[in-house]
Formats: sequence, structure tokens, C-alpha cells
Amino acid sequence: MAEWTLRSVPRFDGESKAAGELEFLSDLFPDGCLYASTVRSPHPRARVLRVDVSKAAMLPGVRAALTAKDVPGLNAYGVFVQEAPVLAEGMVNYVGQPVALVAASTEEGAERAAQEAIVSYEPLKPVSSIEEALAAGAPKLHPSGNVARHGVLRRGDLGKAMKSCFFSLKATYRTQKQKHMFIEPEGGLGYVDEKGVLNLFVGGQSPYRDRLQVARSLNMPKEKIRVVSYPVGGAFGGKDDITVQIHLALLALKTKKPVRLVWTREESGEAGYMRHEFLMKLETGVDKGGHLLANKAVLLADTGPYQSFGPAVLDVAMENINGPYLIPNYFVDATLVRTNNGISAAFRGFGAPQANFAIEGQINAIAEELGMDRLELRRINLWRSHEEGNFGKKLGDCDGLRQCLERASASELWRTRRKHVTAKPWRKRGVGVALAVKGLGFGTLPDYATAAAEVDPDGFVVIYFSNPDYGQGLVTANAQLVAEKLQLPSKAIHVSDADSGSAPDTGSSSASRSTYTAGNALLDACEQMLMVTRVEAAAALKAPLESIVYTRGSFTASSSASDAQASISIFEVARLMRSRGLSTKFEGTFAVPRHDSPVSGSLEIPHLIYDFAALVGEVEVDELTGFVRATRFAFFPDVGRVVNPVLASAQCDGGIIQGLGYALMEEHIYEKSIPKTKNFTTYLVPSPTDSPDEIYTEFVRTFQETGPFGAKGVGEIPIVPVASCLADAIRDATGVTLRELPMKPERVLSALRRRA
Amino acid sequence: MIGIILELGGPFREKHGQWHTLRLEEDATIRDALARVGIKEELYIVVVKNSKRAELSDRLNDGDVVVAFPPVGGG
Repeated sequence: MAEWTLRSVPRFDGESKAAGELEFLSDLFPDGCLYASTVRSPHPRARVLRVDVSKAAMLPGVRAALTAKDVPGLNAYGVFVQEAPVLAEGMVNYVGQPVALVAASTEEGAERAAQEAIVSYEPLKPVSSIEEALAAGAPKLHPSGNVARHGVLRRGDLGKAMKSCFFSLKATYRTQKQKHMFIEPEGGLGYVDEKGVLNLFVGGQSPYRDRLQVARSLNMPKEKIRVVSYPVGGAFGGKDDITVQIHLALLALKTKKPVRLVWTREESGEAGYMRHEFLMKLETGVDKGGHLLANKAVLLADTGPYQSFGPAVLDVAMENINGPYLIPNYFVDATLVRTNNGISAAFRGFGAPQANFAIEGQINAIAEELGMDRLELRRINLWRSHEEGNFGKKLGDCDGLRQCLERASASELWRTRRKHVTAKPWRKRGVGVALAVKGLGFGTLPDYATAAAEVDPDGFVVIYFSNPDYGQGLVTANAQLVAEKLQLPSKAIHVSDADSGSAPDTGSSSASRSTYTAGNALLDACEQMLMVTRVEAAAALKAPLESIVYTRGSFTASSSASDAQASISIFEVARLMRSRGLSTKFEGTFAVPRHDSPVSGSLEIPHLIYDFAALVGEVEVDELTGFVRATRFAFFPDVGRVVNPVLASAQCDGGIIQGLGYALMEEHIYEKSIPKTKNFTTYLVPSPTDSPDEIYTEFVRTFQETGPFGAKGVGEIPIVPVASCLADAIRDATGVTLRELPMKPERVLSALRRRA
Repeated sequence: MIGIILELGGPFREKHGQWHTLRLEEDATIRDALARVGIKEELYIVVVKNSKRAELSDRLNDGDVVVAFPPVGGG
């Protein structure tokens, strides 16, 4: 009987966040700290002819003025490919690219010094779109050209299959750049302590990986670097790669003072990461009965001048472009393109929302063409558990996918969709549907986690793992898993910070993996703890080991249960162990299960474990203005066994509303590679008035055999189907099919006029 | 001599192949095993020995399984 999972324990940091008492990393102002500012390129593409910071360095209060020459190690960063310069040298390739750094005793002094830095540029014509990048004679943004990665997946005989189809649909889909718009912009604090260790308190998603990237650019041993990444005021993938870490490290080492570097909202708008823009051309064919026979997909993604996570984002899009449907013949041709439009990188869903918009659009349009029920068409093509999947590997348990579809089909919102009318004839209501799939973790890439649990004689257990909690609630969820394992109240579980100085490397908070991966490693640590402390308890009780039973924090010698001395708490055992100089901290590990190797043409396809979901959504479209309001959602996700229903539902609410923004209004606009939407004045995000009247979430009941107490992950799946679902709802309401995001009023209105 | 299995992941796999069975000297380290297949990366690398995080300087024993890869990530 579960006591601490399937239970809505209040978020551990909820009260302090709600009261405004929790200090985020950009709230840290230690005595005597310096303020840093970044000199940035105003040009999307230019030769850098001269960088002179000598005048800036002479200003009163200025303690450091650094250029590329001051980077002692590799002047490049990037998780997959190290090519984005720490500080530009010779060329700049996007607006906002860092060229120099200054640090001064006041914020104003730092800004003044940044303005006094002299940088001479020779502006060059930028490459401003996917089409321009691939045009003959386009300027080369990289010695190898403007194609950063090209991948091809194929199965069966596409040409033959397409010819045999009863019907095939050709369509082009375009999705836009989306900004993360977290409340706390990129930033942090760095200092060198009395032991010579470089400490970086930075809003990030992977302390250990950040540490390695800093070590590489600073040319210093990783052991001399400590990265702490908790608490973080939002990330959504936008803090997964390097932001301020290396800059802070350079300045702290140079000045030997604490240095604070926090980007302004506009800097975040210019230089922060974003979701990849995709152009997707599909041709999808079916037989008379609606069975999918063939899918041809050409995907083009704008990654900006440097790749960052681009290669892996492209992979996830390639994996998702066939949806959760068995398609015996396909050809997927995917290209990652370089432009001068800033760097696109990780963002919740990581290529899946884009691909989902295209394939679900195809499915809904095909159903309409065939006169089939939209869910029935999906049902007959669904992945099937333990059968060979699209990538020639056996699928895992997909029963949750079937359950998601069935629950959507039985939902009140879906069943009553024909009755949805408004009082005003120019306002049309419609109901849409979409399925979604998203791999958990890094596919076939190796993924290992280490975590620790320490039992304290004072009556609590401290758990250590390095996944930053940036709002997901994973700290609370992982504490609940440990509470369940140790049969202790969740309040007896204390959680250490995501600190490379104290917590083992659990990997990054990304890919919906943190609860699954850290949770499993923590459960292993608890297993080690119970094994050792049981032996110690047997010795203390002078009882045979086999007679020792652990229940609710106590070991009891079962053969003499009536003896008051025959029981000892795990905390008393810890006291005895420590009195003998023994450690009461135990490490656990977890290797994420994966397929042996990626399919040809990919980096990491396929995943072994997937989250699934079905989303039903209702919209009201004002045909006079083109304004679309999403009014209700019914969401049916399979995220394995739910650890904390309230926190998991909050993840679903957040993901759906973020997806609503992506579908209807959010767009990071570049004009000739100049960013135009750098703050909340120009970049629209959903406000409370845009939020739906209702989001009904019902988790389908599944149990992931390899998950901690059956859990998978919930971070990404809610955002994946939203745009597809709303496009279908708009079509249902108006008869207009939109294949470009965002579906903002002018775009909807234009389509309505074309319909007329 | 000892025998170990080395798996390379990510870009290491693409450049050097995925699976390697190696015969090494008795006092060999993980660094020695990686050098044998041409990997000299010292900084940007994660190594795992028998499913546990390890260091390049860690000694190897007969039958060890080592996985090495650049730090990964994703969504």
C-alpha cells in the first residue's frame, strides 16, 4: 500500500516561494560584490576589426575588462558541438553575441564601462532564413557550409507504397521561434573561495556538465570548480546549455572578488536560446480503410549560427514525425540549417511539438478526407506493445497510449462536441484532438546517474542529487519516493541543493528524466542504506541477521518481538555507526535502459520508454476578428505511476498553457536577423485572461516497470499536442485549416477571408 | 594481462566505433583503455565503470565494463 506516492504532498519550497522569501541565484548580493556587464554585437553578421577595452578598464571602479584573448582554454562551448565562442574573435554571427566583459564596483559603473569598450565592425549581409541559407551562393556561416547536420531515416519502399495508396495528402507546415520567457533571466554569482575553488551559483540545468564546460574554457581541473544550480526561476530548456557560467568564471578568477552577472530581459531576448523554427513538407498516404501506408517528410530547422542542442532536437523531430503510429514505409530527410538568427537550442518538447503539429495535422486532414472519425483513424494505426516499431526495434509497453485514446474518446468534451454552439453567430465553437508521444531521456545515448542518501542520528535522512528544480517539483517528488522506500514521513526527508560540491552527478534536468533517473538512483542508495544498517542493527540487537525486519524506520528482531530491547531505530543505528567513525551516507546508481545502438541516420533514435497523451480542446473563434480563445481542455496523459498528483497536474496545466501560447500568440520575430520581440511588451505570452476556463487532467493508470515505484516523467508531454489540437479545433469550428504557427488573429482572419 | 569491454557513446561512437574488447596490462587505467582506441580527451568526458561513475585514473580489473562518452543532454 503506497503511503507517500500517489499523494499530493505540498511542494517543499512552496511556502517560501509564495511568501517571496526564497532567494534565487540572481538575488544574491554579497558584500563587496562586483557587477558585470556584457559587450554585445549589435550586428547579426560582421567582421570584428578591433576590440579595445583599455579605456573601459581605466574607468573608476572597473576591476576587469576582458576579451577573447583572456580566455585561457577553449574559446568555445556547446553541449554537442563546441563552436559558440565564449567571446567573439574575428566574426560575430548574431545580434547579442558576447564580445567583451567588464566588471565594476557598481552596476552603473559596469554599464558605463561596457559602453566605453571600443569595437569596430565591418557589417556583412546576414543569412536571415532557412531558404536564404540554402540558396545557391549564400554566404557560408561555417567552413563546412550552412548545413550543420543532415539525417535520413528510411523504411520499406516509399515510392511503391505511395503509388498503392488510396489517398495521399501533401502539405507544408511551418512553426515559429518561441522564447522561454522564464521569470528569472539568465544569471548568477561567481567567486573564488579561500581554498582556491571557483564557486558558481548559476541558474542552470546541469551542474556537472556546466562544470566540465567551464573547465574546458578555463583550462583548469574540474575539481577546482563548484557549480550550484538551485533555486532557479524557470528554465524550460533555456538554461540547459551555457549562458553566464564561463563569463562569471573568467571575471571571478580575474578579480578574485565575488562577481554578479544577471542578464536584463532585453539581453535574454537577444542572446538567450529559443525553440527551433521548423519548415516541414509531408506527404502521407493511406489505404481505403485509413491504414497509414507511407509517410514522406522533409524537415528543415533553423538552429542559428551555432548548433548547441540542434543536432539532438533534429533527432527528436525525426523520431516524432511518424507520430505514435505504425507506418511501414517512410522516408525522413532532415536538415539543420545555420542562419544569423540567434541560437536555437533546448525547449520543453525538444523538436516534438513541431513534428507533432505536422503529423497530427496530416492525420486530422486525412480523417476528414476519408470521412472517418478522427480518433478511429488513430486507433487503427496506433503503436502496439512489444511489437516491432517504426525503427525496427521492439516497442515497450504502449498500453498507456491506447488508454489515453480511449479516455479521450469517452470524455464529455469529445462526446458532446457537436452540441457546442455560441449565442453569437459570428463566434464559432469547435473541438479538436491530438495524440502525442515523447521519449523519456536521451534515447540510445548513454545515461547514468549517481545519487546519495544519508541517515542522520537526529531523525532525518538527507538526499543528494544534482538535478536542479526550476519549478517542476522534482525535489518534492524525489523526497516522496525516498519516504516511500524508507517508510518514513516525507518531512523526515531533507533535500540537498543541486551542488556539484556535495551532490553526486545525476545528470541534467531535461528530457522528462529527472524523477525517473534520480528517483531510481536514490532508491538504489536507500537499498544500500537498508542493507548496511540492517547488519549494524543485527549486531546492536545481538540477533541473527535473518531475524531482522525493517518497518517504518525501525529494525526489529522478529524472534523476540515482545522484548523491548529487540528494536532499534535506523537513526540510533546511524548514531552507533558514526560513533565508530563509519559513514552513514550511501551512494546509489542507475543506468537508464536503452536500445543497443541508434538506427542508421540518427544520433539517438529510438527511445526505449515514452510518455504518451491525448488532448481534447475546445476553441471559440471570432470570425469578425480572427481571435481564437481556447476555452476548455481535457487531457489524458500516460506518465507512469503518478508520484504527486497535484504537482503532476500543475505540470500539465503549465505545459498546456505554454503550448497555448505557442499555438496562438508567441513568436520571436527576426527581421533581417534583427530580433524585434525582446521583452514582454513585444513578445506576447498567455495572461490569465487567455487561460482556458477549464483544464481537466486525468492520468491514465500505468506502471513503468523500470521506473521508481512505476513512475516515468511529466515535464514535456503536456506541451507536445497543444498546437495540433487547437489547429484541429479551429478547423472544426470554421472549416479553415491552418498549417502555420502561431495561429494569431491576422493569420486566422486571412484564412477565413480566403475561405469566403 | 586483463580483458575489459569498452563501450563508446555519442560522438566518440561515431568516430571510434561503439564496442571494443581490449587486452591491457595488469595496472592499466581507464585512461590507458581510451588511449588504446585513440581517445585522448581529458576534460569533456564522462566515464562509467561497471555502471558507476569513475575517473580516468581509476585502475581496471579483469572483466570490467567501461562506458565513455562526452556529456550528453537533450529533451
